[in-house]
Formats: sequence, structure tokens, C-alpha cells
Amino acid sequence: MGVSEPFITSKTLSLVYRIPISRIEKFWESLKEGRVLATRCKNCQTLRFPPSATCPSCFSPDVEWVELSGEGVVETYTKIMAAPASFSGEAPYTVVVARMKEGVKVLAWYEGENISIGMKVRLLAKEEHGSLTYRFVPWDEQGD
Amino acid sequence: MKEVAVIGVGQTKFGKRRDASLSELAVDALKDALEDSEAEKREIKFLSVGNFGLSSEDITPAALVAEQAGLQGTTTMRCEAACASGSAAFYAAWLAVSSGIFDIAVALGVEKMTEVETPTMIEILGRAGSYFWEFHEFGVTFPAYYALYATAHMNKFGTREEDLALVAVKNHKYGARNPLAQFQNEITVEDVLSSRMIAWPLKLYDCCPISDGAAAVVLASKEKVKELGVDTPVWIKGIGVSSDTSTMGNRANFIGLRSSIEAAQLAYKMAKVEAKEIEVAEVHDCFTIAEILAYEDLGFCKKGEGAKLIREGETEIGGRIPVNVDGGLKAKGHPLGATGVSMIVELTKQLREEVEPSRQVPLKKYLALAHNVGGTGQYCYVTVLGR
Repeated sequence: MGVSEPFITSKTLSLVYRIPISRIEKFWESLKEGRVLATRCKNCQTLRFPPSATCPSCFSPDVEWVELSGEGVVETYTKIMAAPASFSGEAPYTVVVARMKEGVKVLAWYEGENISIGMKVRLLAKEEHGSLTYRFVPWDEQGD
Repeated sequence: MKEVAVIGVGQTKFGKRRDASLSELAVDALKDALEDSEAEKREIKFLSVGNFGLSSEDITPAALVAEQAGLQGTTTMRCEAACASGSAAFYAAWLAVSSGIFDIAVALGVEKMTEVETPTMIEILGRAGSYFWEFHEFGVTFPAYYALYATAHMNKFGTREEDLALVAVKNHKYGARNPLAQFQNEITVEDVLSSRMIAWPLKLYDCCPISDGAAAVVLASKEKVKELGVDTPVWIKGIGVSSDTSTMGNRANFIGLRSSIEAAQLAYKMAKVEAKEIEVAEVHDCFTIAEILAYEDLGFCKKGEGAKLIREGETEIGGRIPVNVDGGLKAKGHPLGATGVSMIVELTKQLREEVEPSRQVPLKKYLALAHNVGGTGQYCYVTVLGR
């Protein structure tokens, strides 16, 4: 069972998926305007992040977009030192889950020095390397 | 609902198995399980195959395994529930027999993880969550998902990195006594604490390895057990299955796995037993924190007291509830699809008092529990076994 066991190399399989975002496209349009949106069901009032075009609670397709205030409290975090192949060169990076003032939780990178559970953080829309995303920063930072 | 027993078990050695393909490993385990049982191959009409996939060349392994085992024509399927794929196959086989449709069924779990490069495997495992919202944007690795739980547990209950290390030390101790384990070396707390940081606070030695391996069990109805004259049937007394969100952000809290708590309650209820009656357990220690969470979620101790349990040696042989005395995922290895079935193999041998004497748990009630988590608690399967 050593490393010198004979083997045959398979044909290469290259997998890239085109992920449809038609139903929640407004999320990215709003990121461009500096706003992070969640969805709220007009039928049962369930607030949802990540946004969902159909309410997971009552299946109503009648949802509205609401802007998150950006105010969150850290519920947990980790600092990733060993990154996957597609993030090589990015490590270390800190991932935070924060509970937003509106009640939903958001997972995103945290850009700041110190981090602890219970700490207040700010969620910001961001453009990075030409693509739209969102980040947590320390509460007293207003962002770019 | 018919009563169902495990009447045969088989498992390959776990580890880097560059000597065998997926179907070859699968057939090795299947052959051992059949030889261990009183059943004949021609009686097998149901074969469920637990396999996570992507890391080996065949993406439809069930029919391939059936063919290699000369079982074409049998009712077969691949079962997937991430790291609990083996338990999903076991559950399918249990349903097949308990429903009365089949009187014998085989559950087989198999995974080949070392045919791809390690960074590719890390990439695949990181996608075992919510790809779009958590991996694609933020590169959350699989250890990082559990690190989110470790951070919260340490913050709330004062669990220390040294406590997590004790889990790895214990599981290596028993892995060293198990010839089928991937790692057969003992380690120290210092080895764990000084190992490379992967996702704070989890270090390399807090993580289970990447493994190849296969395991198989033969199940039979009570009538069939009588007909075959099985010596020591091991009865499936209760099974509970539950699930939770794929998106970590949508979890209620990070101090326990909801799916574990619910699956355990369902299994205890069906088996009509309490947590304190269990005498030996296999729990899902893909990361050291996961074993601490399992102690609490399964009711072996109160929430927040998991670290105390490992510190006081209560989960070693001689303690209140010996856990993972085959090395666990940490030292035995974690070939994803094989793990859930391997837990049943180990507990069946424990209940028959057939394991190596140095790791045989002394039994009075002959009650054992298997706990297999898929993903970071997206799926959980709990099984209570007894004589």
C-alpha cells in the first residue's frame, strides 16, 4: 500500500457551473449602490438572508426587498489559515457570523484587527477585483 | 414494522489505499460481511451504497459495485448525505427490511479520497455546505465550519484548546490498538497544540485525515435470523434521523447540532432506552470539537460539560461511557461514505465481544450507540444497537 503502487491517470474533467441569479438579481444591483438587501415575505413577514424569491416558510412568491441597516453583533468567527485551491494566496482571512439588528444572520469576511464574540460590527457592500460582495468591518468604520 | 438485526459485518483497512480501486475496496468489505454472516450471496436482493463521490472516477458506483460483486439484477442505489452517506445507506437497508419488502439487505459504504490531490479534496469538502453564499464568496473550508462551533463553545463554556486536544490524544490511543485504523501511533497534547493552524482554533491534529476505505453490513428480518440460525444477532433497536440548514448563517446557535439532538431523541424513543444506559458509543469526531458537541447533544452529559467529560477520562474504557474506542474518525480515518457503516461494524463486534481485548468495552446491558453527522450537521443519523 505504498506510494509507488502503479496507477493510470484519468482524463481531465473540468467543471465550471453557470449559476442562475435571475430571481435575486436585485441583490447584486443593490450591492452596486452600496446597499445589502434581504427579502421579506409580504404574506407571513418572514425576513430572509440570504435572499429568497420564494418564502421558505409559506412558499409565497410575494416577497419584497428590504435594506439591512448594517448593524450586527458577532455570534462566532474563525480565522482560516489553510485555504482551498480556489482561494490560494488569500489566506489568512477571518470569517464572521453576525446577528443583524433586523434578526437575520449574515456570514462574511471581517476586515479589521481585533475580533471577539459579542462585538458590534458593520456590514458594508463592496466592490473587489471588479466583483460585488459584502464585508464586515469594525463598527466605528464607515467604509470607503 | 419488522425487527431487523445485523448478521454480518466487514471492513477494509482504512488509510491511503493506493493498491485498490473503489469497487475493489467495496467488494473486499462486502465479501467479508457475507462470510461473517450465515446468508448466501444469492439471497441478497437489496444493496444500498453510501458514497459521497467526486473524489474518484466513477460517479455511479452502486451498479459498478453490484457488477463487481456479481449482484447485477439486485435493487441498488447510491445514497448521499455528505459524511453520513454510509448511514443513509444503512437507513435505506433498514427501511428495506423493516418494511417487510426484503428479508435480507446489504448496506455498503465506500470512499476513495486519495485519488485526487489534497487541495482538490479540500476544495470539494468546502462545497459540502451552502456553495453559493458561503464557499463561493468567502472560501469557508470544512474545518472552518466546525471552527465556528469551537469558537462559540469555548466562549460560552470555557472549553479550552487543551480540552479539544485530549479528544485527539484519546482517539489515537485507541487507534493504535485497532489494526484497521489509518493512524496507529499515540500522540500527546503538545503534539496537537503545536501542529499547524488550519482554521483557528482548530489545528491539523484536531482534524480527521483524508482516507480510503469500505465497510459493509448484512441485515436480516427476525424471521430470517431464525431461519438462518444466527448465533449472535445484533438488533437495531432504534434509529433517528434529522437535518438542519446548509447555510451556517441560518443556524439557531453554534454550541450544539440541532440535528444531533433531534436524531438522538428519536433513536432513544424508538429503542425505549435512555442516554445513561448506553455502554459504548461511536460518535462523529471529524474534528475534536465535534466529539465534545456529540457528548452533550447525545445526552452523555449536560450542555457545556463536554470538556469536563473528556478531562475526567469518562469517555475512555473504564469510564462512564467509552467513546470511539476504535480510534474514531480522527485515528481510524474517515472515508466519508464508509464511516457510518464502519461505526455499525465496530459496535456489532463490540456487542459480540469480538474486538481486540485491549479495546473491548465491558458490557452488562449490551447497548451501543452510533452517531454519524453529514456536513456540519446538515444531516444526522443516530442508531441504538443491542443484543
